[in-house]
Amino acid sequence: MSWTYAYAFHAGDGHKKCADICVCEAIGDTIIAAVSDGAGSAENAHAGATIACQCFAEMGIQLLSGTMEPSCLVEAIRERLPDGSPDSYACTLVGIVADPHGALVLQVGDGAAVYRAAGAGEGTFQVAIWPEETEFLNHTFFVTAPDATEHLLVTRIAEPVGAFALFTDGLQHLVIDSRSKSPHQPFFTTVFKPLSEEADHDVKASWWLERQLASDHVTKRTDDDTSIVIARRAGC
Amino acid sequence: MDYPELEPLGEDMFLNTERRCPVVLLQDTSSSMEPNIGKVNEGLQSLHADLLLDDLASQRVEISVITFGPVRMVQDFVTVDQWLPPRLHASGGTPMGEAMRFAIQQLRMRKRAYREAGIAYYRPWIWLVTDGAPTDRWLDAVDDVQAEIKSGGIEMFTIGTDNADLEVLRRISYPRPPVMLREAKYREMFVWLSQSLKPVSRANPHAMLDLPPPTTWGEIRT
Repeated sequence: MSWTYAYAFHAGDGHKKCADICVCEAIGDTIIAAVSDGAGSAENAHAGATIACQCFAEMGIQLLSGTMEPSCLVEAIRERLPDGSPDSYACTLVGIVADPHGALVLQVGDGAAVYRAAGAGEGTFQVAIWPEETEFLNHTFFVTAPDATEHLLVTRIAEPVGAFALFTDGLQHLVIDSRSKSPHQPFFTTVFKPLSEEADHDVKASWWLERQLASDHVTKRTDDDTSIVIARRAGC
Repeated sequence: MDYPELEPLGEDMFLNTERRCPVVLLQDTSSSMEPNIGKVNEGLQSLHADLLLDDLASQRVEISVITFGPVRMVQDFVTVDQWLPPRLHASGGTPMGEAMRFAIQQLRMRKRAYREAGIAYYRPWIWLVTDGAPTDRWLDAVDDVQAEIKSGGIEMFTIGTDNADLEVLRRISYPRPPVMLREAKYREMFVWLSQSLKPVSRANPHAMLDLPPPTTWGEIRT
């Protein structure tokens, strides 16, 4: 076992049902994770977010190895949407796939991936991709939109990743400083602490994460949906 | 299930996110408003009181009050929890064109201040209320407003009362039609404004603007 992960989501006060989805899967020494934020205004956003995350989970390894172009993922997501208006499935996507040599991070819309290189010290977390900015808060880009490939951001990390966190927009503004475009180190230094190395999926840490998302610290600052995936490589 | 050995995250592990939703109240205070200015003032109090009931909205909605005429900044942008609604007085003409230009200029400055301070913001609203027709050169100002609307830079609302020139208002806020205020229901109008601003400022960042019909206080004039 080489990776341990945990994840959680929480429905914001403004919403009845959480439209955030996250997936995480460890296969040998490779890990695939994704989060998606279903647009609050879209009727089938939850279904859209599920499809987006599933597609990334299925295709992540080919994306990392370079046998598949990132734009093919976007096309696959659109093809998988049930008939009807793609707008009703509108959602964002942030995904990472990491193996012992490096990682690929992909993003459409807001949310972010933050990582620390294997062997790097505390307080060295960095944002993998700065999300494409829009002037106003109530505006982003969707992986389900016809122009999604124009807003598709991809980066390759050419060193082993030791730990990473993916989260949607609801948490983004609470843990990334938008002026310096840098992660709020106290959060990232602490959030990995409960992760043990006893199983792939650390259920206890997931339970803990869920409690943190539901805490006053988060819910007093945002009433958007929040979701997060965290993962750490053994010994990092 | 409980794991007491797992310590919760502390307050200082999260950043305080500052978000603002700027709103310009562009209020006609020409002399013909005299009979109703008391109701406008009461309405401003209702707007303040209703927004204050909402914690997030009262910290995020920023109100600026600009009156015409003459064009005067009565209140610079301030969050609702810091705002003391003014007592307006009616006098003078209706320099609506100059007022609109001034409002757009103020919003530009405000947005620049937000960016410099690293504060994220929602699309600004301009809420124009008038009982008459412009008495200045207003056509160029309409072009400026329309350019802002087309580029998605503002949400423009026009509300007419009494002898308001609806044709002018239609051109200003196009494609959003003007609303004709019914029976000087200023209080109901400002409460509606407050109710509509709450969900916007409550940060569902992907929501489309979905406003209720103004049935309690006005009539949409398409």
